[in-house]
Amino acid sequence: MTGPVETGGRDMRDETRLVRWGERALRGLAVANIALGVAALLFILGTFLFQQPFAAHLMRKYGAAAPVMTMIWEVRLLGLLSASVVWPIDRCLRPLADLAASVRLGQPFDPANAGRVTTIGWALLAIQCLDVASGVLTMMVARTGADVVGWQPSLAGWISVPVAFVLARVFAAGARLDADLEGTV
Amino acid sequence: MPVRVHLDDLLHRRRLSLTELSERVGITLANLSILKTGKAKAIRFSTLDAICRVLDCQPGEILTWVEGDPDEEGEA
Repeated sequence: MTGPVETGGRDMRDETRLVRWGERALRGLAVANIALGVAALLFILGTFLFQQPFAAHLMRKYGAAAPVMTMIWEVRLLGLLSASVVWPIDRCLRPLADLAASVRLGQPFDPANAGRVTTIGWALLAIQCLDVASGVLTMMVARTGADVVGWQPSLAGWISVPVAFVLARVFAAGARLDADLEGTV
Repeated sequence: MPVRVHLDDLLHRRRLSLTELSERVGITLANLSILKTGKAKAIRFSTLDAICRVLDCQPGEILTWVEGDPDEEGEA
């Protein structure tokens, strides 16, 4: 097995540096993702602690006839969905960072990588399911007359799920071939 | 492995060291060591060709098959 420094010149070193930066960016995003999850949970807690002023604000904005408590509960559910998507996003970012690390070390067909990509595939599927749930909830919120950001199903997101599972098979096959090559003279 | 490697005997007969063979066939010393000690899992035809060319021998003089456990390691 050859390392990145042995196999190439400047281009290879540049690529290695790029992969290292990508890996760092992914680890940074993973931390930011958890921070966003904590922020979403704090927001939900805030809607309980400051329910009265929140309800008063909604009444001023949408009128006394608006179903304020329904709106508040739907906002809490949206917050909960935002917090729950943190876990699958984390299961995408961390294995991807580990994958980048193995590429940087010159071992892209590390047997663990097939498992990492499978994890990413399941996480992407979970993200898509939560996205659909948030879409349904957004429509429910819109029905109460509240201002909401529009929602559309993500075709690219759904396509990425089978792509990840196919890539996992590719990595598994690559790992088998790599094992066969090891010890070949 | 029931396939035995006789590289050591051939080198001895040709009065060659593994390092010299490595330089002449263009295969790393580490890889030739793996082959010599019977730890190789496979050998390329190109490697066999290069060794046979330098040692002036047939593949059958380098490799022989003996009855034994396929998981067993070691050289002849």
